[in-house]
Amino acid sequence: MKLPETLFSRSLPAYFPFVVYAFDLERSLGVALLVTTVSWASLFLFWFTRRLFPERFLKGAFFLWLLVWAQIVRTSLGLEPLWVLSVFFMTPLSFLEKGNRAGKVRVFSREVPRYFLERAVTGLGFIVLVLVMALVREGLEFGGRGISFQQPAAMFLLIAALAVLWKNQPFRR
Amino acid sequence: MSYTLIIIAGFLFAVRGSRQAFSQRPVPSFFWIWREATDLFLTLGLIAALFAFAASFDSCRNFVREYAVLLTGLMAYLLTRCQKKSDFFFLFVAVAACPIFPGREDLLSGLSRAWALSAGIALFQTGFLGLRYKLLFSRVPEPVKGWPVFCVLAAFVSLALWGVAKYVF
Repeated sequence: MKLPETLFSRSLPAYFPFVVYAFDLERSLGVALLVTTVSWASLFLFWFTRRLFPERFLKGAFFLWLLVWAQIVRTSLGLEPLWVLSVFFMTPLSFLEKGNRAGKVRVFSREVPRYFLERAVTGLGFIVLVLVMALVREGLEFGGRGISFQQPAAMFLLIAALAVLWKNQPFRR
Repeated sequence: MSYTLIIIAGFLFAVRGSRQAFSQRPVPSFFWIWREATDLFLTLGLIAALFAFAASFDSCRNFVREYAVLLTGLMAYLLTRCQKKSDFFFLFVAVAACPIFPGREDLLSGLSRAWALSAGIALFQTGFLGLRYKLLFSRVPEPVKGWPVFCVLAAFVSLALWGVAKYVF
């Protein structure tokens, strides 16, 4: 089975703020878990409560929720709020807009489990992506004696190589 | 503020700030890129000025420092909604204000950082979207279309800009 390209397209933009952070493996994994948890919590909360908000304030409420999380994490862990951009890319905003197809789906319908499952897989895919990138980066740096990843160009080339591999996966029966 | 933040922000603005990059017929507009950069600078500059003003009062200095993310976020929301900017523009302003205004008292330093960020993003986007437009007229092999070629372009533009940036950072 070939893994769908949409999974990669959803997770990849969320990875880019991690290039700025340049964390080691442990910290990258911790922040990835945080991003995924907040993304799942946001989706779950706003999916079931979206009818309670006036339409014009729904997106505002979502962004306020993100800012409150960013403030809490900055106060408690001292982490700069760039990780919120990852949550923004991971969480589909289409269901917050009534004009979109996802926005027209009823709160409790048959499509909901499949929709949530897709997002759960995206979250897990994102964690795996962060893990793989951190491992490859640490491996190639080789304790400071290998390739230097101080330049964003090196990370871009690494992501390009990963994207080529993902795009050209062989079919398996 | 690091050079990496500028490059990553420029890349994200190029691929997610608008629908140009992924559409079949993207039309890079030099004027549009630099107008967005000017808006970014003015928005960040206004937030920096408001922070410097609030921090000049002893009674609210600690409050401003402690709740910096929430306050910058609320200001960014109001300012970007007035300008009808995209969601990504708003969120980027909200989260970038914290790393680029560390002290928040020195207005001149804050403004110079905001200028460096905006100009860097605009320079990156000019190079990236220009090359992306040129690629439409070349035969890019199917296996590298999309994200791979975008990332390679971004790597080349970031290397080229490093020649300028190493004198700044």
